[in-house]
Amino acid sequence: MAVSKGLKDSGYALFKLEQEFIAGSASVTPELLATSANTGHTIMTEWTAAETLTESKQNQISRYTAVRREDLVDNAGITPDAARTHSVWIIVRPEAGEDFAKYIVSLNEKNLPTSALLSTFNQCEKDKSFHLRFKAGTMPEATLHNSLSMDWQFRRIPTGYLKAPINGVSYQDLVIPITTTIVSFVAQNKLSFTETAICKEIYQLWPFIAVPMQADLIKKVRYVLRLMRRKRYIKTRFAEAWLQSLPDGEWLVVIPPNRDLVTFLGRLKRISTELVTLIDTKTRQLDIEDDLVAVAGKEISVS
Amino acid sequence: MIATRRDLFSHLELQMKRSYRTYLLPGQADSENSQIKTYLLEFDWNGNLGAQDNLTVLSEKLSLPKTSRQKNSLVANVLQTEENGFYKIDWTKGKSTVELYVDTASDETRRFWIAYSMSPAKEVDALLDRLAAAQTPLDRIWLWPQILQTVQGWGEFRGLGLDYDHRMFDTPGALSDGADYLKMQLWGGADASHMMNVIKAQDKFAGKVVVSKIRLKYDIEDNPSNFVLEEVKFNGKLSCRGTSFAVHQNLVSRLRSLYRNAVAGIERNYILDCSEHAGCAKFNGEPLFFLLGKPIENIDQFCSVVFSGSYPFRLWGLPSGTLNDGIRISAVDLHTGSTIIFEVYSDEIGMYLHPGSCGNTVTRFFTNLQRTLGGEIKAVDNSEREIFQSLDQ
Repeated sequence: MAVSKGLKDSGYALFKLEQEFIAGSASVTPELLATSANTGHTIMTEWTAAETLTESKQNQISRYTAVRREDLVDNAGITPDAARTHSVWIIVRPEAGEDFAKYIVSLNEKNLPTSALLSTFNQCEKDKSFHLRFKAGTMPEATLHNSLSMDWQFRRIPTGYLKAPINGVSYQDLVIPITTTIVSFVAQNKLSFTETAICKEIYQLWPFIAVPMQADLIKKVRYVLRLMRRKRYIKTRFAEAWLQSLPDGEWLVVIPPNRDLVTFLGRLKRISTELVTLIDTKTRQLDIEDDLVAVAGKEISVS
Repeated sequence: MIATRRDLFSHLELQMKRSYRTYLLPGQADSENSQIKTYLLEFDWNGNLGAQDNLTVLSEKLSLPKTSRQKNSLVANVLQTEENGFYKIDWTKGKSTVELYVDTASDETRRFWIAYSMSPAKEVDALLDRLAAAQTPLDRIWLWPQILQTVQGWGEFRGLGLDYDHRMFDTPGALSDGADYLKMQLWGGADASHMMNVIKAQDKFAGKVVVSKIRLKYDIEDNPSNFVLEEVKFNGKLSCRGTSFAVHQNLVSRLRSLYRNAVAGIERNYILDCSEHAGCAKFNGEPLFFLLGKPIENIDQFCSVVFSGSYPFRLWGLPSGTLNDGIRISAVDLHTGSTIIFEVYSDEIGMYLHPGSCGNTVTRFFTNLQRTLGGEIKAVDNSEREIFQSLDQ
């Protein structure tokens, strides 16, 4: 995407995803923190699905505009050279654009520590193309301001950079990436692996994901792995036999002797498909939630 | 006794001259068995390169166990010759033995092997297809139509083979006459070339003219009496007859360099990688997109065939999301175990290669896509710049 290429050319690099840090007397958790040593600028990004500007959204935006340089350097751990200036980029639905715009303009007029820029994002019903449009606000760094003050149109949204969503990932979202990762390990003859290894394989950005979120992801992966071998849920004949749980978050894939790999992988496909459908079925969801309590009780360590 | 590549080259030189003299005699059939056969292969060492005992690694990786589908196991008997990295490998099946001399060392990356065979062509082809279809680190190289035509430009035109076959995507049970394929061989000089252009110019054949094999007369400028009549197939198989094995070897080496550079270019530019610099993540690489000349009629059927894990695509995948007008597939290349995300639309396929991916996966996909969906497919980058056009140079 041209917009990301523009940012990359200006030296912007990802610093952290979902990193919570203290700013004044409150905390903020931007979806993405990116910095550029070239421009000395740090950008916080907040993408919200809110349809209207609620009081809690006003509070959230106020917290961002109150972030000072020392909060970024001392509390978020950003290099001083990359935080000479900073800003927040807020992306909302078009229907919420007007209300958010008025509020952001009013905040920017107060000369608060952080200036904000607002964009809207939507899909055109007619031709199905996607639009990222500048709505209001400003940023102190010229390249970034110029890049985000333009309207961008995308015929299709690229979905392949990430194997699974990071923020708000569901169990269902994880079934296919976990299965694919196991198949990838099997193809490389790595039949035993840890839950953390699966997470690192799914999330290339693993070191840049905040630790509490890492722990949550490991827990979710463990839970899905347990479901994948549970006869109670999976009707495929070898449900209990193909995957064994070992101590310390380790798992072992057992391929039956003389089993042709493609046949084995075909069965794995069926397991995944069954599981995706199962999680989607609300009537069974309650049973799954009971299991979740049992899994969540275990302590998760992040390495 | 063949103990070095020098011995092998001398032996093949003699065989080549003998078979060429026989070929010139009136009434001799044009049998492939009388030709010198060379195969370009790709091998993924997956961290085993430099292992103390290469013989063990190779015999393990090039053997196949008995499975529910294959009743007989296939055991590779690997023998080290006097030359480092040069092996004699044989596989025995029933009463027949297939023998290959494999040069794994002359390519500096040790990935692209040259295998020479004196065994019957049919048996060698079947063996290599079986190995490449199974979960082995061995793959053929995949020469897409445009690179084949680049190679043909290195010599004098002597013909080509067309092979387009869409039938694998026919919907099971649907009423179809099963005739959506076009295979043709045009042997000859300028007339065959002209005929090919006439066919190509017909709208009704648009997209179905897919070059899968080329023939050329190849020589070295300073001595035109030393030449080969070479046939190069899409799967890296070269068969030749002629007056000089050295000229054949030169063509093989030149083709390997061209292919290696193309694969290296793909791996340099199109693997999505994330590296850490001063505590920040820097992203490298961009996805590839295949713009299809002929739309995919049934995306579900297309995905179930391509991502079944079977030969020739060797991709295993599951739908991992619905796009506006397409399907997102999370896939694994069974050759290397690398993961790839595909976005399959009726008019376009996006390919996102994740770390550990191999350029050979892209050439395999591109080659087989053209052979099954038609030759009017363009591979482009994010800026819609054609990828393989620049790599051919």
